[in-house]
Amino acid sequence: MTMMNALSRHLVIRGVELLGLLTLAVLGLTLGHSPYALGLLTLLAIYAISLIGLDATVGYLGQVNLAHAGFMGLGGYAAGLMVAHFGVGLLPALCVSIVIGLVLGGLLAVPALRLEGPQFALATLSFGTFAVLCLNELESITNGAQGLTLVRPALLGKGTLDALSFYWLCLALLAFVWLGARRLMEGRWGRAIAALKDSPIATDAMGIGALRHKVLAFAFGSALGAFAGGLYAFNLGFLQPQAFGYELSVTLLLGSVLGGRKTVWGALVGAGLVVLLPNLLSNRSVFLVFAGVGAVLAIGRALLAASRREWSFAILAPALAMVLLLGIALKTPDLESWRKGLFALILFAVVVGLPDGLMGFVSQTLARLVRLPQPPLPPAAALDAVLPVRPARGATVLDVSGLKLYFGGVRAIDGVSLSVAPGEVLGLIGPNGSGKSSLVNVVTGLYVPTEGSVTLDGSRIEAKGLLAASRHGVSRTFQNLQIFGDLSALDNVSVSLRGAYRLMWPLVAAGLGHAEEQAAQSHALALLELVGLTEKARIRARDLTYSDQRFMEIARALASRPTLLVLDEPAAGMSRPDVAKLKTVIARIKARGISIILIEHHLDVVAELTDRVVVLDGGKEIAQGVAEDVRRNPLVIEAYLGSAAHTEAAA
Amino acid sequence: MSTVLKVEGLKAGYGKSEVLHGIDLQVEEGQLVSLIGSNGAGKTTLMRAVSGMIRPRDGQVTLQGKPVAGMAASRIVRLGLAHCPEGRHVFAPLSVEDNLLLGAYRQLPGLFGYAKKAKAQLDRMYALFPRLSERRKQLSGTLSGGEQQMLAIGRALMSEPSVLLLDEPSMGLAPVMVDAVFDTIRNLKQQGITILLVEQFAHMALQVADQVYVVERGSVALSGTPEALKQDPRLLEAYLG
Amino acid sequence: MDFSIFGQMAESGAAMGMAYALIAYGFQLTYAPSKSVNFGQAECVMLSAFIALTLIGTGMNYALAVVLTLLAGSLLGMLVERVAVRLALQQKNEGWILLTIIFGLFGGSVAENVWGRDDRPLPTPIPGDPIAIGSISVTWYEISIVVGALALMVVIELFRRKTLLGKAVEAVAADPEVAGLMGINSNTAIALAYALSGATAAFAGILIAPITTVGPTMAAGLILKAFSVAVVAGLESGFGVIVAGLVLGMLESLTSVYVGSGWREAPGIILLVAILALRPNGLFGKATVRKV
Repeated sequence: MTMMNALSRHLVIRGVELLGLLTLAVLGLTLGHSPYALGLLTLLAIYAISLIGLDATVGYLGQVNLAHAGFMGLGGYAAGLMVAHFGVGLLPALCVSIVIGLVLGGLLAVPALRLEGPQFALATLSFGTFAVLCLNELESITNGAQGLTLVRPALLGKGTLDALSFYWLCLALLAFVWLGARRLMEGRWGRAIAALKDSPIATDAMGIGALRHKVLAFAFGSALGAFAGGLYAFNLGFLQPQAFGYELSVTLLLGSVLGGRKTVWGALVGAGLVVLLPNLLSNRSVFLVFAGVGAVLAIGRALLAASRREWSFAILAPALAMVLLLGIALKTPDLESWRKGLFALILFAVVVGLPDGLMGFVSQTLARLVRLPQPPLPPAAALDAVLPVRPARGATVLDVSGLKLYFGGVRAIDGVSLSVAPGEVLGLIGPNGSGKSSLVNVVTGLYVPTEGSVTLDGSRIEAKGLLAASRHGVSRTFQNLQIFGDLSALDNVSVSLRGAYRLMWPLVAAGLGHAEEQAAQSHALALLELVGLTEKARIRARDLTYSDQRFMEIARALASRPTLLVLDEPAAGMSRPDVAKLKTVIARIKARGISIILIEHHLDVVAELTDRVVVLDGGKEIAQGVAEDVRRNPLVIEAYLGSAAHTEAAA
Repeated sequence: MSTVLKVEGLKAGYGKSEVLHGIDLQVEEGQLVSLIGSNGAGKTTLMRAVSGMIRPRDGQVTLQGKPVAGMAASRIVRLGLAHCPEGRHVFAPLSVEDNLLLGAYRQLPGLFGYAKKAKAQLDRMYALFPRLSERRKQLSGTLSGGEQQMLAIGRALMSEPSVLLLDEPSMGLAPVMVDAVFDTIRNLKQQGITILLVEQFAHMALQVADQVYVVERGSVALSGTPEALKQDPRLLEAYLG
Repeated sequence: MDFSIFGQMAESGAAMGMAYALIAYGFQLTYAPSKSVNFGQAECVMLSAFIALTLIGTGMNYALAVVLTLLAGSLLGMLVERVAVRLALQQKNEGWILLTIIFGLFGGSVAENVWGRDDRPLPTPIPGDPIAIGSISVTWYEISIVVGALALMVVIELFRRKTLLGKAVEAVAADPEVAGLMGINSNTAIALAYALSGATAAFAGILIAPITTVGPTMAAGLILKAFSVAVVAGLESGFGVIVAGLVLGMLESLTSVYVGSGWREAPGIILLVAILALRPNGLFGKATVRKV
């Protein structure tokens, strides 16, 4: 019975996908005699492939990518020129397209992805414009604005391919890309990308590497775009640079948004809308029906919200947009002339009213209506396999010597030296502005010290960034939680596991990643068990309680098998029972031989959790010792309450 | 003596965490009430919830008889409250005089003639803070920490508020400047201005306040006059645990 | 090298460059308080130019038509803010990029259907005949672009520095939360910034129309050029856009003559990408201090 339940979800989803592809196949068979319909279906498959690629930057990274049409153009011309000048077959030509997309995508990605939001959009816009410009001007190679006529070669060279066979090829390629992309996105790659969208800081601190994954996602997406461009070239039989300009990039972007983010189905739906919309417009009555339905839905939603007195722009504006759409459609005899405007209104309504796109909305509604059980999780691995006990190597694990950090006129750290023994829990306390956070930020790689050294297990680790520090063996939690909100607790931990994912991505795309995934889940569960979150493994991190989020961050920080763990105010906002639980967790971590630096405010908490305490004030160490002694130290009292002598003199 | 500010059962927090678990306090006209407590106790959160910078989750805030909990800061401020935030936050690219003028933004005309209308108030501020008078056209971002604090207080006073919220005015300042700031606070008190003061350093607050509330972990742990609290051993406990 | 051709091309390029600078200045106005810009600004330029065309066509006084067009441009800017920007700012995400692109798309469609797809000349009292300065001939249109752009920038700068409203917008740019404590509503301040930005777009449209004619092609490529100027100068560089605009305008013009007219946009694009990669705050921008 359990086996059936486990399989059922899997089967249902795969079944639906198979149905979708079969529908396309059937359409091909029935409409194959009409070259127009066949061309449209082929275009649908091609755009779907392109949008799956675009989803990597738009859906997963959440950026506005205006270079995609440019990549399609480059891929198209690369394949076309290969055939025209060298007479190669279709498949080799397409391989060239993919390589062009990967290489140029990677090159563009490295500078572009250091940029945020509008600057990234501008960089991609520039690239796209420049690509078209070059294709247009390098007439000797590309034939420029006059265009390049192409013959569709057979798969491996000799002869030509007819339109129907080409359609089957495109459909087969779509299925191939669909499966591969889905496997990659459901696996660790997709999770890493979702993680870096939620918290790039934590992504680096957990050793995953934010920039690296951004670049890979962009290169992958661009390669798919170039691939689609190659297919596009042979579908039409004619290439022109102007076809791949700003308008196409915007169309693709909007198709991606309309269809839905982070879903291959969304790519298909978006592609369908983009390809079919112009045709829909030529059939006025059909369009009016669709527009009418859309308007009724949007207005209905608005009225529902109004009845609950929930006035919000996100609900009202789409309704107004749909009314405007209907108004224009009714008043204009020739809908084609308003094509851009009508498309814009539909998009506005979807972007504002259904931020996850049409498929996002559909899948969320379905998820609420139909509950499919998840496949069961593997048993948790033994803790020894996941977090082996660290042998003590030498008297100290961390050595901070003569550390100074000055920025602007501020002396955040003014000569601090301390050391942490293996398996020791060191408390770091002090009033606001004492330098605790700065110290910890230096140790974890965020800041470059002005002077002094930080040595971990014998090697110097000053600041080459969070990622480097993580690789050296430092891990941390954050005072202001940096959880990967959209991922489950289990995924938060598994995506941070060091060395768990060794399989190369093509093999994962081919479907061979399952065993590795199970092992990773098993390891992650062991860590969740350590912090007592086993039952909540599947809950989305965003939906956990505050304390549970804090514990999850600790489990996640342990995933990289650190030598030194920094806990930044882990008890903040915790109730007494949770603080007791924290004590147990810290004891377990200690038993593994991991050293801990713990920043806290409340001395009572620090007393329970630490072996030794260092007190900072004004960037300098003012006391050190066991919590009990430190609490009675007059210098410490003065630092927290203000100088008694000072205020007496002022009175 | 009327109650200028009353807080009842106030709860507030950020994201998932609840920082304030139900605070009760009140400030009478002409009083200086101080909130003290260790870091992370919730003092700044309380100030922000009162002035509208964050939205309270429960409870009520009454300003001169009007309930204001849940209103946007820009509205509460118009009703006679001024908040001088933690960390000063002067408008760095603007001059000293511009900062002061913006303090009275709601009472002045937007286009022309505002300098003339604000002259009397400006003169009063310059008299109170001679250091600022010397630096009227200087960009406020280039002032020293202490001068910025004076400017932030002056800016808050420009609107002639019925209650002034001062959040950790001594933070990050050299001892000499801290003295100057507290001299100013004493001065304001003498002029009858109602003040709610947040301070990390208990001793300084106990010097100037009429009434003290000790905040610990989001609740009021102790309250009373400075004399009473000075003798109370629980004060130390609240800070150091 | 024939200096007279070089000089002539440089001069006409510089004049157009001032128009780009004006639009780039408009971008800065909205970027400061809201970190957002209107990606559909080119369509706003075109719509304003069409509105001017219609108003002048009614026979009214030219100056009055210009003033009314500026007003229309401001209203258009406020519409963009309310419809395409405010929601994204409240949600603290970058959805405004897509939404302003969509707004531009709709605006372009409106222009096509209300005024048609043909390029039409804009009647203007400015004489078309050129005057000779040395071996270079300068048209009054070009002079009007330079003078007009500078004049509007100066007027808006005076507003920003001398009026309390202008200072309030700058306060919102510096610290929106604390500006709220002064009773300044940041939504209103940002709407005001977008209104001013809309006015710059409208004025730019009126100034370049005699040269480019009014039509769908007037907006083509304009957005990227203005962005190049804004980014190369730096989005917080103030009058640095004037220098960047002049330089880029000249480069564009010279490239079109000496390399090929199809390559005219290349220098702007290359500079844009280079600046984004090497100095994202622009040549004249202030370096950001990273605070954690």
